[in-house]
Amino acid sequence: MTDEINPDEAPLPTAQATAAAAYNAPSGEVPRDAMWAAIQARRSSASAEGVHLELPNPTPRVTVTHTTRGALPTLSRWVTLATVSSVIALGALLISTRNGSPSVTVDAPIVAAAKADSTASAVAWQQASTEHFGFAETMLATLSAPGPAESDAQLSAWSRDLLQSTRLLMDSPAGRDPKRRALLLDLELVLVQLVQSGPTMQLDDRTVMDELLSQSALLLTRIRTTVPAGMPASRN
Amino acid sequence: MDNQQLIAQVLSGDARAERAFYDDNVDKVYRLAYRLSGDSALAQEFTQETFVRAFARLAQYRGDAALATWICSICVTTTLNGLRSTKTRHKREAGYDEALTFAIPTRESEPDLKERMRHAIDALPEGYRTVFLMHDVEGFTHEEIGISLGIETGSSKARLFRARRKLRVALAEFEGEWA
Repeated sequence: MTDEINPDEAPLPTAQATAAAAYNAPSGEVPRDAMWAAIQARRSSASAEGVHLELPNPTPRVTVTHTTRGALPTLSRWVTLATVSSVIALGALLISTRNGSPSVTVDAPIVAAAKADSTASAVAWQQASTEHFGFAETMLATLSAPGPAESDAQLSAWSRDLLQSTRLLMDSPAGRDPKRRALLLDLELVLVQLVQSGPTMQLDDRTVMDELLSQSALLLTRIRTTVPAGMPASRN
Repeated sequence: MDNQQLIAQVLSGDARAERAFYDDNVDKVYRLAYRLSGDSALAQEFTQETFVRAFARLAQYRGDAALATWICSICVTTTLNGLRSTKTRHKREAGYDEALTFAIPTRESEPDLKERMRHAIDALPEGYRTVFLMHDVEGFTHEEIGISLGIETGSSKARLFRARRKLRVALAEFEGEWA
C-alpha cells in the first residue's frame, strides 16, 4: 500500500458529484408515523403468531462426489434442519420465559435452570451452525467447480434449502457469536442471489455472475477460516 | 440518555424508548433504503423490515459498532435482498456496456448529465454501486461501510475507486465540459 493518490481516488468533479447526489434523492418528508404504525402492527402480529417454523419442501438432492469436506448425505441435512429448528424453538421458549410477567417471583433453582438452558441452547446453536457452514462450504466449493453429478437445478434447490436454514439460524436468539452471525448474513446474500438466478443458475449480466462467483470464493475462504474443519462444535 | 440506556429500556419493553430508538434512526435508514431502491414504497417497506429485524435482534447488539451503523447494516442487507427478490434492479439496470453506449456523445440530443449519471450508476455492479452511494452520496465512512457490508475497509476503498473509475469513463464526455 502506498499513500500516493491515483486519479481514481480523487472525488468526482463537482458537477458530476452534484449529479450523483440527485440519484434516487429522497423527496418529501419521511413518513415516520405511517411506517411506525406498520412496524408496530408487524411486531404485534409476529408475537401473536409465535415462532413460525417453515421447513423446506422436498427438493431434488445433490450427490456430491468431489467435496472438500466430504459428501454430506441427505439425512444429515435434515438432521441439521431439525437441530436448527430445535435450537430456535428452545430460544423462543427462553425468550417467552424471560418476557413473562415481571411480578412473578422466580426461585433461584429456576433461574439456574434457565441459565443452564440458555447455555445448552447456545451450544446447540453453535453445533448447528458448524454443521450448516459445513454444508455451505461444500455447496460453495461445488458451485465454483461443479462436477458431472451436479445439475444446475440441483444446485439451485440446494441453495434454497441452505437459504432457509441460514435464515432459521439467523433468527434464533440462541446465536450470539458475532463472527458467525456476520458470516450468516453474508451467506444469506450470496444464497439469495443464487436462488434468484433460478433453476438454470443463469444470470443475465456477466459482471453480476462474475461478482457472485467472486463473493462465493471469498465467503468460502471466510467460512474455512471461521469454522475450520474438525472444529469441536461445543467449543464456546 | 445514551445508547446503552436506550437499548436497555427498549429491551425492557418501554414503548416510549422504542419510539425514541426509532426516531433517532429512521431518517438515516429511510434515506439509505431510498438511495438504494429509488422507490418510495420500497424504501418504506425496507425501512419497516429493518426496524422489525432490529427490534428482534437488539438483544444481540454488543456495541462493537455504533448503533446507527449496526442498524444501517441491517438496512443494507434487507434492501439488497429485497431488491433482488422483487427484481426491481433488473428493470433499471441497463448493463455497463449499455452505459458506455450512452456515454458516446451524440451532439444532436445529448442527454442531461443527471440522466447519464443515473444510467451510469445503475449500470455499476451492485457492490460498487452500494459503496459509491454510501460513501460519496450519503457520507458514510469506509469503516462504517465495511461494517455494514461485512467487508474490509480496504475492500470498501477499492470498490469506491473502481466505481469512480467506471463513472469517469461513462461520463468522460462531460468531464471536460463541466469540471
